[in-house]
Amino acid sequence: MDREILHITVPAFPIALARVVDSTLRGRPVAVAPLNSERALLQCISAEAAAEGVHAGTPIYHARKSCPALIVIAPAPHLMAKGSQALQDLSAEFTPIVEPGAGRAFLDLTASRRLFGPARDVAARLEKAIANRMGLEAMAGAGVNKLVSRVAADVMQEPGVYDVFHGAERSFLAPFPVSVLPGVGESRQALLFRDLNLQRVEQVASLSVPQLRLAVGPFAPLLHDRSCGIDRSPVQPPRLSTEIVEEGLLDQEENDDAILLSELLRLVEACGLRLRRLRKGARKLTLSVMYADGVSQQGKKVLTVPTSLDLQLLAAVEELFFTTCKRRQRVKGLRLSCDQVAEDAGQMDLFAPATAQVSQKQADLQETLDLLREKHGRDAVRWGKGLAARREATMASEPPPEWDPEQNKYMTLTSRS
Amino acid sequence: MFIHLHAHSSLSPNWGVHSPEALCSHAALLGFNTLAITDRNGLYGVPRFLDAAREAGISPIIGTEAVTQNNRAVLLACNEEGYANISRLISDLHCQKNFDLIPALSEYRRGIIVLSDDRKLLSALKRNSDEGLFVELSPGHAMHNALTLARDLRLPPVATARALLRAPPGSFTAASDALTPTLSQRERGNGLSDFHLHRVLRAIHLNTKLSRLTPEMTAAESDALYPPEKMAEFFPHCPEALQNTIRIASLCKTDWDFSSTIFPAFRELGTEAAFETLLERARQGAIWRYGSISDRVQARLDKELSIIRDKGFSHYFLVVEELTKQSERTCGRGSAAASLVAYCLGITHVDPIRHNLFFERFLNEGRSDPPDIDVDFPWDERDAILDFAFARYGARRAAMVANQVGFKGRSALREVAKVYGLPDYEIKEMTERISGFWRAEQSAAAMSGHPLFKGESLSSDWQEIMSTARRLNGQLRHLSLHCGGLVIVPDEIRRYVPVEISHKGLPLIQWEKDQTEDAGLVKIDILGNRSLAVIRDAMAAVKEQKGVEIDYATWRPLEDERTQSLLRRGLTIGCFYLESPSVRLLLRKIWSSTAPPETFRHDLFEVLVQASSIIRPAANSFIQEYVARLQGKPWSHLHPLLESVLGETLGIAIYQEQITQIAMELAGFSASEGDQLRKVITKKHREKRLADFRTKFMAGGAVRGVSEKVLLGIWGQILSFAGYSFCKPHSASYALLSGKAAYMKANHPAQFIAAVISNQGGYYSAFAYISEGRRLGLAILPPDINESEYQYTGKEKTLRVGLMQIDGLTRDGADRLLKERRERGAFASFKEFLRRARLQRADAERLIKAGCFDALEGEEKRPTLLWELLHFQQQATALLFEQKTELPHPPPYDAQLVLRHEVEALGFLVSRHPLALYKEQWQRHRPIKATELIKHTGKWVTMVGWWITTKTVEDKHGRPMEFISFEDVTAIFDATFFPDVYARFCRKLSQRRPYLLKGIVEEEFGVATLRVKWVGFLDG
Repeated sequence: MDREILHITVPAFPIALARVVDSTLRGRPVAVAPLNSERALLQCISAEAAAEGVHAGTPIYHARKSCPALIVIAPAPHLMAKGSQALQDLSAEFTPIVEPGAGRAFLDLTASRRLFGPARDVAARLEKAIANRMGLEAMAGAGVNKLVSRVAADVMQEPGVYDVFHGAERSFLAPFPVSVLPGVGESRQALLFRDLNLQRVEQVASLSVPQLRLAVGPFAPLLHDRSCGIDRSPVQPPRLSTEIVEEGLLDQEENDDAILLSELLRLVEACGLRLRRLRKGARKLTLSVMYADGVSQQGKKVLTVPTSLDLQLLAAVEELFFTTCKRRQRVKGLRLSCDQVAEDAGQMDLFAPATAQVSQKQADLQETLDLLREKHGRDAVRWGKGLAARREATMASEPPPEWDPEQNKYMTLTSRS
Repeated sequence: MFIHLHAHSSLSPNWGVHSPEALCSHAALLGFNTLAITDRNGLYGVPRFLDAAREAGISPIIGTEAVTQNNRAVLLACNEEGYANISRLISDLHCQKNFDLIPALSEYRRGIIVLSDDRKLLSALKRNSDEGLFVELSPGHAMHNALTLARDLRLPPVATARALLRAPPGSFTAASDALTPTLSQRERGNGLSDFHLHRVLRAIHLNTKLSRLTPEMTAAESDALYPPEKMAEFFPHCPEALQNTIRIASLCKTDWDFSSTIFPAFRELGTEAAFETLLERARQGAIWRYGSISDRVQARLDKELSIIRDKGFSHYFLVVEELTKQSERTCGRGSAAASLVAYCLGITHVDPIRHNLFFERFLNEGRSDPPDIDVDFPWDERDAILDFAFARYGARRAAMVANQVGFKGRSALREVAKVYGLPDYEIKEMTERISGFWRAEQSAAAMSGHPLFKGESLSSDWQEIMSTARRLNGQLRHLSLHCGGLVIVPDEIRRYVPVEISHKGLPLIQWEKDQTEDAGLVKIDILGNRSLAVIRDAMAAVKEQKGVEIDYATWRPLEDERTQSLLRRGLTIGCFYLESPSVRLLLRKIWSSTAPPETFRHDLFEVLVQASSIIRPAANSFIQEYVARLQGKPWSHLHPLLESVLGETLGIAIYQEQITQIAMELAGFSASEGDQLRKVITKKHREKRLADFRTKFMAGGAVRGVSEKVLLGIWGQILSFAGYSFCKPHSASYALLSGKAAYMKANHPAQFIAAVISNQGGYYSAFAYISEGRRLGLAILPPDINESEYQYTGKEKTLRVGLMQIDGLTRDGADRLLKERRERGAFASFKEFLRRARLQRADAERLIKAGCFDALEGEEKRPTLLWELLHFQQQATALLFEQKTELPHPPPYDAQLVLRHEVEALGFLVSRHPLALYKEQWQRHRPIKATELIKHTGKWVTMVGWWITTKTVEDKHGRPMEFISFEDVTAIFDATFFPDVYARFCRKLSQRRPYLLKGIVEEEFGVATLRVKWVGFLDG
């Protein structure tokens, strides 16, 4: 039986959300970028900004040159989280199988057809619900699989639904540029396709699998399917996991270890508290360090005994931090996840080496701390380590030197990149 | 009561903070009369230190701190032998892989005093003798352990501060009187502490961040140049440690003299024998050059040879002659071209008698520092020459001069910003606007005042980075190879200076060229010159294709009519030394259409020499006057005494040596004083002495009855030589080379342009040279699999793009296909090519996109060829499951994509001028042609242009402005952006885009330039 997949998307989601909160942003060119520097890159832009020649990925000051009226707002992770959750909740009213993304969602409506009618009807209701309850405009695409429904939704210029007839997938995709196919968007592949003069999806679709194999190797059968509008991938609701994850974004990007470690302590305490509430201990720690330039590094460590005490966790995490965070680059966020959560008093390994027993004193201390905090608030008692040392204060507020023309008089520059 | 015996200057690599000059003057300020500078693992700054110490009235002690993985010791030189031993030990430390300080010290112990707190080292050395062994006690470095060590080993203790920072003035006054208010930020120094700077240096070097520097990685905050009273406070329990510093200082030599010149020795000859040989060679050479020896030549030879003999230069001349003989085409340059002996030996090629070159500029009685002879070789032969020199003299006697690499504005900012952890794109955003010539201080100023940074406020991070970076100036990071300086000594180089090994494996002394010279080591500059290779290659191509051979030694290029005409029209793009826009503009002005006929009667060579020398940054106003006088404007000397000096240059000082001569004639300077004045002016940062010279100049002139007004005018002219300037012999040598290049360009343009592009590194980009070729009437042919060589090739009226131009094509791949073609003939089809050449897929892909197979298969088949390539690749790799796949037949590329491929593969458009693509857009604006610029003088015009080259300068108020050369499809034209226009449009400039320019045409001496008022683009 044909599946029925609906894709719903809110273009420029962070901006759309911000406009709900702040009506002055409506109808004007807006972009999202971190505001700590004029050289920060735009993460997302509104249609008005795009019309003025602004692109995502350019530095703010650059964008301002082509669009002086550009309003730049900072990313709002909480608003985003709230918005995504609301979108997911609205979608969940129609089907339990919802795959959320940033400002988008895939809905598998195959089984709820009897209940809610065809996908295009659901789309209309969902769009209306989003408009009423969230105040956002959404576009929808419906089709037999995720690929066509997504492409269909992205084509839409204004709210509405693009319903691709079942069986018409191949001819629907035919005129699109190859870059709509997943796996072809990356620059290397895109260049190859350009050079092979494969510009539209239909040109790829007309090639046989062996021919395609010459160009893309083992990816050929899958690509051939996709170019013909065949996509078997299921709509995957987010999986529940036993992981305990704490994530922290720094107010300001920083590379001073003292500050990073105090942030890390905060994450450790949060994880520890959650573990203790569950009366469990973590065995596997994963630390991700996200740097200012978008790179992230990850380090893992497996503990011999599951633990949930802050100090023990911290010792392990600190060690992990020094082996993981190797770059000089500033860090913008840290993420700590505790996995392989085991019952505190679980089955012991018969041949495990004798492990250092957690002293009763430590456990008592931790318990007391937890109680104190529960009663008087989180900040009632803190570790000295956690008092964030400010960065080494070396700044001298001396005025910059004068531009001395005399010194530069005969400096010449004959070429510039 | 105390002397600092352990101090680091900024020449301790990646460690020290303050220059030797700053340390010396600071020590003098604190009341010391003796100071030892002990840079890490080197004597990097010894000549500078001696100079600075003399200036500050300090007795210098030479030493070093030898640091290895396991050991550490401060070594001080007691005498000459000790110095030589330190130098040898440091050389071993850098050159030997398994260097161990303890045995090395046992070997080189004589004449050295050793201070250390290393138990193993001290006890090992003590076994031989305890003479000159001391235990080093420094505050902040486990003093109690060191004191125990001294008692255990029964060695005398000595106090040091391991000084590196300047002691904060507040720290010791505060201790004695706690109520004294602390000094304000400003008085403490420049806000940021020295220690912070040191930590940043360490973090840069160790590639880490400030918060991760452990105490072992850096010096201690207490390592400062303390005043004696403060040191005494540290040693109440051990006063003998302080006394011992005095004792040691008295054991060390402080009256160092590096002034005697050390010449190389030629083939083990004695001084007399060497002179006899030189005499004979010079005589033979004179006969070779002139046919016979006239009285005039004989007299000049006698004069030169007697000075050479007195100064002991015979060996040096013979050594250089031998090196020069290793290549067919060389160009001796610099002041040595003034020597008839050098001319006769074939080191230089300009006749010094005929062109009136001043021998005293090279050598004179009073000159105490050794002049050097610079010789240019074709750039690709230079390594062979160095190999020859090292084979002849061995690494024991010869070594290369180093560059001491420190920080400049851009690198300082970049490195500090990295320590602070800023992302690369943000750093690049800042640094790409900073000129590579600016020093750290200037960059900081630029960021606050230059129009390129207008309208941006700096975050506090950047402000901090900037205020740190501006203090990084001259802190040594590492050595690199100087491009050509070679030092040869008669005995052992390591006696004089420590030697390291460069990346290329050549021995490298620890001094850069100024210190080398100050230490009396004579260097020979062996430089690579691309133009010599251009002329060589062009001549070879002409010989091969046309059978015309030119005898290099007797070649008189300037007698050729076409060459003359080319030079006079300023069509000198590609001609060495004359190709910059400013020189070309000058040449065009001198012989413009409005110039009177007598201008054409001036000796062309002399004018070329003058024209190429007068182009100096500070001489703009003189250039106007010079052209006017050449064209017959009446003039007279500022003072009759100048007649003999400035007669040949129309009363305007043009050459460096004229400074010397003016000072001699007008103000009664002696030859050596005049020469010193020249040096002071042409080298920087010697302001103090310049003031002395000025006083002397004014006084000397007054004695001779010259009026003050005239003297001031002349002094102004002399000052205009600051920055850079040339001496006549140098310019004459180069002008001769320019003439040869111009001859090749005028008579064999295709071969010449091909050689210019193939040798790379000209003033302009390959794109500009190709445009020039087009203007010379050459057809530009695309790269072709059967026709192209690796280099560009010129034949008759065509210029074929070489495979070297294909971006990303591996050298190995190109060589393989050329070899295959040479051995088994041309490729008949793409399939055959794949089978025979067996190239990597990426290489073959680039060849296709560059259009190499268009002649063979047709342009429309390019995508098909790519499929074939993929298919061939699959068959070559997957033999097991071989399958027949029918290949698709894609349609040909559209025109846009073909052009995109061309730009991607070659870096620019070859098939047509890029402006041709925008013809529709520019026709709407009705631009004028560059060739007709002069007809529109004084009018407001619109032009289109493609960016060729640029030069940013400051106007007389110091505001930046820019000269840019653009070209349209007819010619190159020069556009001026005055400061107001520059400030408005500077961010738009220097992008490879089609420009639309509006402005006013200005004319001067019959040559038109565009004064730009507005800038836009044709493509959007």
